[in-house]
Amino acid sequence: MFSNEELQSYRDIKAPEELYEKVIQSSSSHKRRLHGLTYAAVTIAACFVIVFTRTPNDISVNVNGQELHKTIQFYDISPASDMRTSPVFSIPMEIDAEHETKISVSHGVLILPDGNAVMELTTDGNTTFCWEFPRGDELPLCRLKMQSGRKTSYIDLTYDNDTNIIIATKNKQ
Amino acid sequence: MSLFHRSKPDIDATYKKYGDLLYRVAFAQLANDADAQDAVQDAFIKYMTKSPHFTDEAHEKAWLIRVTMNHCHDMTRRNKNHSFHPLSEASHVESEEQHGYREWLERIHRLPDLYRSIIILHCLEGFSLQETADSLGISLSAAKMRLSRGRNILEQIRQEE
Repeated sequence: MFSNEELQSYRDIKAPEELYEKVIQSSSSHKRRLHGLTYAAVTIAACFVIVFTRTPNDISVNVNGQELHKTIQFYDISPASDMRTSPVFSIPMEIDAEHETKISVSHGVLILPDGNAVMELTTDGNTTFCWEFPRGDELPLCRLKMQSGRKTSYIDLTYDNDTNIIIATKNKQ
Repeated sequence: MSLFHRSKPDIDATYKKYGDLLYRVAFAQLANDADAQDAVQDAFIKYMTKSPHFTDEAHEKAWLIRVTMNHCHDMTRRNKNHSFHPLSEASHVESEEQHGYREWLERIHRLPDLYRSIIILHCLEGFSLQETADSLGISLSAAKMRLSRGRNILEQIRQEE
């Protein structure tokens, strides 16, 4: 099926050094985020900015300056004891839409810069708000829906209790 | 049964143990250096964030391969018009002539995704059938069937060349 030379050429393939650096960098970043932040930073850490720019659907996603292709993971580093004192997740978001886009959420509310809480809003440009939803032992699938004309996309949030990680996934319909 | 578990994964040691293997498998699956690197990196990110419990090293190895393969399948699905970027474009690799990967790489890329994975793990990587089945998360009988079918298709491809 494969000659000895072909098998040898396969086995000669080595991972590039840059890959090792990327993996170790991801690891360092992971540890730094988990251990480097204090409780005073918890509120800020829970408020990682999710920046939406343009996607094929006129919206693309960035988290902390990193472009999102499919999934963002960010860390809720609250110690377990403090989770009881902080009843909500609060995630500041910025959405930049080229066309009129209706934004709504399945759970929680959108806190606007003026302090008003709404379940949905409509924008055709740049808008910022804080998505707040209650903590629980198990976070249900929280969904933010963005509807622009006939195109609909979603940001789904799930929470991993074991790792204190919130996972945001972008889906299109 | 002893539990092979580390509360904080030793990424450096794990990468040194499996990095080349995972990259090789991902590259053979995707034929694209950048995508292969992404798949391996994503697998390690999942390894770090999930900190899975493993019963032994074989379990850990199979888990990493399965996660890497799943990322590869996702990428293949996303990039239906996947471009073929020979490994020679990557700076870390010597000349194409020295490696001679192009022929077998093109050959296995004419295989459907389903059969390519098993051919890579069993025929190129040299895994046992059981090890291959574990890595792909399929039964031994399913692995045997896929291998048999994959070999037949590969043979047809060879004859057409």
